[in-house]
Amino acid sequence: MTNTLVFVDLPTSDVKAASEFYRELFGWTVNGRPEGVFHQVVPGEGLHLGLWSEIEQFPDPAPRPPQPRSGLQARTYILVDASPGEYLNKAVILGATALWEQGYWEEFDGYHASFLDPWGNQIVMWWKPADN
Amino acid sequence: MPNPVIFVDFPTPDPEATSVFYEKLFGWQVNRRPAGEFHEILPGVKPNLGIHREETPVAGPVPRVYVMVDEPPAFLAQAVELGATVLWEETYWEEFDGRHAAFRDPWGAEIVLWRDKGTYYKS
Repeated sequence: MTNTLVFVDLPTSDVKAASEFYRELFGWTVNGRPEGVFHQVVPGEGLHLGLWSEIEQFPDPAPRPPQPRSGLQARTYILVDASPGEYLNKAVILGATALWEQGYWEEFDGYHASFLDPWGNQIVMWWKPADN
Repeated sequence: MPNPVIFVDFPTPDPEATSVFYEKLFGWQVNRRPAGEFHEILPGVKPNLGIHREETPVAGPVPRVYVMVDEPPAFLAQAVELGATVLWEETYWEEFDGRHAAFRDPWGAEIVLWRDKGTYYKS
């Protein structure tokens, strides 16, 4: 089926360090394609992600001049297997900035917490205890 | 393995205009929950997406969202007609054996149009 979401990739000034951060935090497999420039993230099920260098900017055929990041950006939600608060603590220990502590969203019946990774990407961790 | 991606949502100062843009471009169903604040997008196959109100303008590199389409040039032209800016015309990425084009929507989100190779979902 077309017109569906198939991939998300996050910019970073240090692809290798970002890969280590997410490997450590979520236990994801990360493949360099190529190493240090564009990394493919394989959570094991569902959508894959990418980490792309702000310098080379693969797969943009005409990379734009580097520009500082500001403002809020698209948020990526990860369905976590333990409380978002626990993952938030771990993310902060690894260098992330906490954006909000664990809370409940009644409209969507889920618990969530959020951080900004050390390279400026916002992640929301989502959890429904009944699913576990 | 745990911890999959389940959702992505875009910031925009105008959730209604952004919703209309994506409804027209991709034919997506958008649920206002509530209208003008947080909109849920249902593309028909999960993961779903969302749109949330955010007044702060965005600058610099942003996460890119890849949408699989049958004809990237046609969707790119339609996006431009709706107010988007071309980032790149359709080209080939050898490492992933895929063809793609990209645009920046009028509110700063970047979308990569990934040509359907028939490898993601059975039609």
